[in-house]
Amino acid sequence: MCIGTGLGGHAKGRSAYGGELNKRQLMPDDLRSDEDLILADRAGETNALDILFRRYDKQTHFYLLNESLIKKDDAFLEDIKQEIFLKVLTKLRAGAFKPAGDGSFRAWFYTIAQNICQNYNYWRIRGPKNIYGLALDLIPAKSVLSPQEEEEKAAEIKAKLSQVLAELSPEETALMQMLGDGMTYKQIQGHPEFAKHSIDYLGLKVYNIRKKIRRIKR
Amino acid sequence: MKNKCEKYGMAITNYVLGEDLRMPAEELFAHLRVCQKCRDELVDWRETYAVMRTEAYYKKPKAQKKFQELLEKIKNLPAPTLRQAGQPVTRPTRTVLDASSEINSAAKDIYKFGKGYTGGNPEIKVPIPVIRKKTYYKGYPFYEAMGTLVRDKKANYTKDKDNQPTHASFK
Repeated sequence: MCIGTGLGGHAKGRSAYGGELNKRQLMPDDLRSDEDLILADRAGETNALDILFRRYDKQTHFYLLNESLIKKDDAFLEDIKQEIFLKVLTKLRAGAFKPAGDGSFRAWFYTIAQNICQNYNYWRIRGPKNIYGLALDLIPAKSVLSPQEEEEKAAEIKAKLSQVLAELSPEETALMQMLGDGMTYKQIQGHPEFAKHSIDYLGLKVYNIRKKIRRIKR
Repeated sequence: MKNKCEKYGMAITNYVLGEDLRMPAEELFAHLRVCQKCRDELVDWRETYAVMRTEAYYKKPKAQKKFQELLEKIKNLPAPTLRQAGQPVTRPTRTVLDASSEINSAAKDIYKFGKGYTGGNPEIKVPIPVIRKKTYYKGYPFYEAMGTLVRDKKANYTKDKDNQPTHASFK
C-alpha cells in the first residue's frame, strides 16, 4: 500500500528509514515480526508496541497523504494518524487481533487505516463546495503489497525521482521543494524567487515537471 | 485523443495539489471516468506527490519528536476493558423503533448522505451500494426509505433491467 516510502521490509529487519535510524532498526528487538511483537506486548513487554508503531509511522503518513483528501495540512494529518494508532492500540488491547489466526497484522492495520481515512474523506471534509468527493469512486483501493514488493517499488520510484531532480533547473528544484513542504501556489508566489510569476505560470511549470517525471518513469 | 488528454493534464496536476482546476470539476471527472490513461496518470502523480511530501516531512527534526509525543499520549489514555482471546464478542444492540419511525430515520440519513455526496447538485447520481455502505440502514428499511423519499419528491432513483435500483439523485 505504501508504495514509495521506502519503508518496506521492516518486518524482516530491513528498513529504508535511513541514517541513524537504520542502526536502531537492526537491533535484535526489531528483527521480530509484527505478530511476535504483539505476543510480546501481551506477555508484558512494555516496549513492544513502541517498536511496532514506530515501524508504521512513516508508512501511515504516506498512506494518508496518498489516500486522503488532506494534502497540505500537516497538523490535521497528525490528528488522523493519532486516531489510527489509538484505534489500533485500543483494538489490540481488547484482543481484537489474534496473531495466530487473523492473518497478517499489516493487512489488519491497513484495514483500520483505510476505514478511518475513508471516514474523513466522506464525512468530515466533504461539503457542497468540496469537489474531491466526486472523484472518490474513480480510483479503486489498492491491495496491500508484501514488504518485499513495497521495497522494490519504493527503490524504483526513489531512483527515478532522484534522476528527475538531477535534470531540473535550480528554480524548478526550489519549486519542487516548496511543493514537498506542502506550500500552495499562492504561498510560493509570496517567496521572493517566484514573486514575479503568476499562479498560472507556476501551474504550468509544475505540469512540465510532472511530464518530465512521467517521461523518465517510462 | 492525445490532445484531448493534454487538455486535462494540468487539471490533474492541480487536482492532486489541491489547487484550482481551471475547469469545471465535473468535466475533469467525466473525462477520468472514460480515460484509463488519465486515471493512471492521476494515481501516478498522487503517489509521486505523496512521496515528496513524506520525505520532506520526515526530514524535519520535529517529526520523530512529534511521533514520540503521540505514542506517549495514546499510551497514557485509559486502557479499554480487556477481553480474553476466544471469548465471544458482545456487541451493543440497536434499539428497534416502530416501523414508521425506522423508515423516517433511514430516509433522513439517506437524504442527508445523498445531499452531501452530490454537494446539493441533483444531476450527480450516487451509486446505491455507496449509500448502503455509508448509511446505517442496510437492511429492510432501506428501500422503504427510498420509497418515502421518492414519494416526498426529494429523490429519484434509476433502475436497471432487473428492476433493481442502481443510482439515486437528490433534489
